[in-house]
Amino acid sequence: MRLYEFQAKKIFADHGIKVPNGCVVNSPVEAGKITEEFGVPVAVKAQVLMGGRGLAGGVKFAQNPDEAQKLTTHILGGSLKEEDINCVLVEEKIPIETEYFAGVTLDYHSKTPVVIASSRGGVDIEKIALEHPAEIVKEKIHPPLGLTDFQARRIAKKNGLKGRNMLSFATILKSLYSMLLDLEATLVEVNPLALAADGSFIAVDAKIVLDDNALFRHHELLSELEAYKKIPTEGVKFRKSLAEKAEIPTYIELSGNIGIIADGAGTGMLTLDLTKDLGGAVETYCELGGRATPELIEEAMNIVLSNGNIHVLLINLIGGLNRMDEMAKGITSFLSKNTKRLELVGKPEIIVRMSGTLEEEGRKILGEAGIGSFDNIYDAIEKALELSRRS
Amino acid sequence: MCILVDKDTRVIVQGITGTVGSFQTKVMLDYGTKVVAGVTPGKGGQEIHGVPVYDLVEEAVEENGGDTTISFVPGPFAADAAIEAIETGLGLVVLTAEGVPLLDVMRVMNLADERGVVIIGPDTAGIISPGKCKVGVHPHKLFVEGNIGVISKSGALSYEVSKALSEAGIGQSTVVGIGGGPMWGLKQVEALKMFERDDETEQIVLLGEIGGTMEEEAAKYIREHISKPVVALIVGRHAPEGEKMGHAGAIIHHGRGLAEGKIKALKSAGVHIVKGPREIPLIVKDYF
Repeated sequence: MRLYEFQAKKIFADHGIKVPNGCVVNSPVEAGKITEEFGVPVAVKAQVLMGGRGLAGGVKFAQNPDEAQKLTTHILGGSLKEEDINCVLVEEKIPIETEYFAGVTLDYHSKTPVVIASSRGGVDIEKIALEHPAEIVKEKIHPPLGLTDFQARRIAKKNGLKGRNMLSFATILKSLYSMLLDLEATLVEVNPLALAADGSFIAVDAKIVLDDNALFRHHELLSELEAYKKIPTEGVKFRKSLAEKAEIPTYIELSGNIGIIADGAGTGMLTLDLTKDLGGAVETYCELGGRATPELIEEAMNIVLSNGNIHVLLINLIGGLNRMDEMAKGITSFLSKNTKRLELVGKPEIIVRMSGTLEEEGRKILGEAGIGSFDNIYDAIEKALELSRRS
Repeated sequence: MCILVDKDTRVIVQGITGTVGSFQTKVMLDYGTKVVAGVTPGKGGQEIHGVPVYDLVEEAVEENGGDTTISFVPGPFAADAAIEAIETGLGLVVLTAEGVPLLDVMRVMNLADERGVVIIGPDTAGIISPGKCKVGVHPHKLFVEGNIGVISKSGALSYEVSKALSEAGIGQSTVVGIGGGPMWGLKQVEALKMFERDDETEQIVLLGEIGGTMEEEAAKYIREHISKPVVALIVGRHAPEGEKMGHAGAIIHHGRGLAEGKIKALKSAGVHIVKGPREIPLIVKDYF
């Protein structure tokens, strides 16, 4: 889970990294007021979680309060790549001498944290890596040792820094590394890290991505983040937010009339591949993970079928940890509660494929409710395709 | 022979008193796996399906022996349980948990490497050597003893493919689920190496998916070191970019980790590529 820039900057400041004077606001009037207080040109930055914000027009500069107010009105009224904008960060514009890149992330290959730094800051790191691979310094951190002072200095030096600048840069790397550990983040990055005229380094942007699996140890951060999220009330964003709330691992909408619910990532992707290979148009891909409960599959059916484009729902289950008796209970429970609703939306066809742990028990429960099921994945997909063509 | 687990494997179950741990212990016992003891902190002294339960792994091993552990301990506590197993000296640790914090996984992997312990997972269905031993959660009716070695990131996909093989009368030597990533203990390359050495394994089925570069590494290894025929299925060919497809490791980022590149690499290493499970028995039969 990514943090907003203003949240990340607060954490940066708490860890001793200098950030521009700034204030997060959600109205144009406030933006004007803040700019007046600062008394200098400002940057007005949309607070969104997507990448590539600058290129998409989410960062503007204002010379005076009036201009800041106008820009804020414009930014708050729009969205960036379909992401709603709830607030902007108004901050002093920094006169930049040189731009650097500094980040710490986890390297899954070596199973260690890794520091990445470059004197080519200001642009996408992927782009630097492509165009100037030699100008990216990458060093693995030996986990028990952590990032040592000398290693941080060496990385700074490799980026062409000397004297006091080398030492300040090394201090920043150390702070980024300790943030990664403290927050259990998967990425802590600053780009650009500006070297100001007075010789100090300032984090002009800040990016922190937390490990979703470790959020249970960081409740405060999580609730703060939730407070700034706009809750959607309709459409695909709404269905996605419901899936997230229900802790459904994957919910994706594509384009078509077939919905897929699967109980494993590998077989889910296989179902998607085979359905598309055979000419099917998949509208929804929903995957329940290896520890699904009756309630989870019932909620998944609720969410998937609340999309009116679905004419055929293909449920592909092959359980190891997932018990087919439990999956069958969830399916029959959904159907018994939704008879009327399904009639109203024109009765989507529901195809169930069931195999694996306690499959006989599962089939029996389905059978008692008058629901047939397939044993073979291809038979189920072919049936779903046949029905989807009819609709 | 077969790899990793066989009829002599002595298994400890961590998290044995939970709903899942207890149910899966019963299934493993029914299959004939030698589950010698279980561990749940605070529940020492109880019995689950006739298996004695201890507070500590070292107590369980002291009184019953044991060389392998399967852990049903949930994500937030999984790392501590794994470290306990490694510190106790067990040689093979199967981690079924999903959602283990990544810095925890890193800590476990680093310690395991230092001690020479093999980690399977996390987020794995485990290992089954059909007819001999199961240290996992596989629906074992779908598996038959035989000569095909199966390596899979996804548990469910390995059930699907083994089902297709078994129904065609083709059995498996060992089926290894290596887990959903994005960090792995045992990787495809190590499993390939084991199958190459194993007398009972005549052919290898590699089940990969989008994300990362593991299949490309496997392709390189196959070209240089594997003499047995390999068939591969890569899923996620139609996955949209930038979306996590259920497994933490299954994501296409900036055009990297695409199925296309993996298929190309494997093909050029002489691997037979299929699009779905029903093609696998046909290819495999041709080689016999």
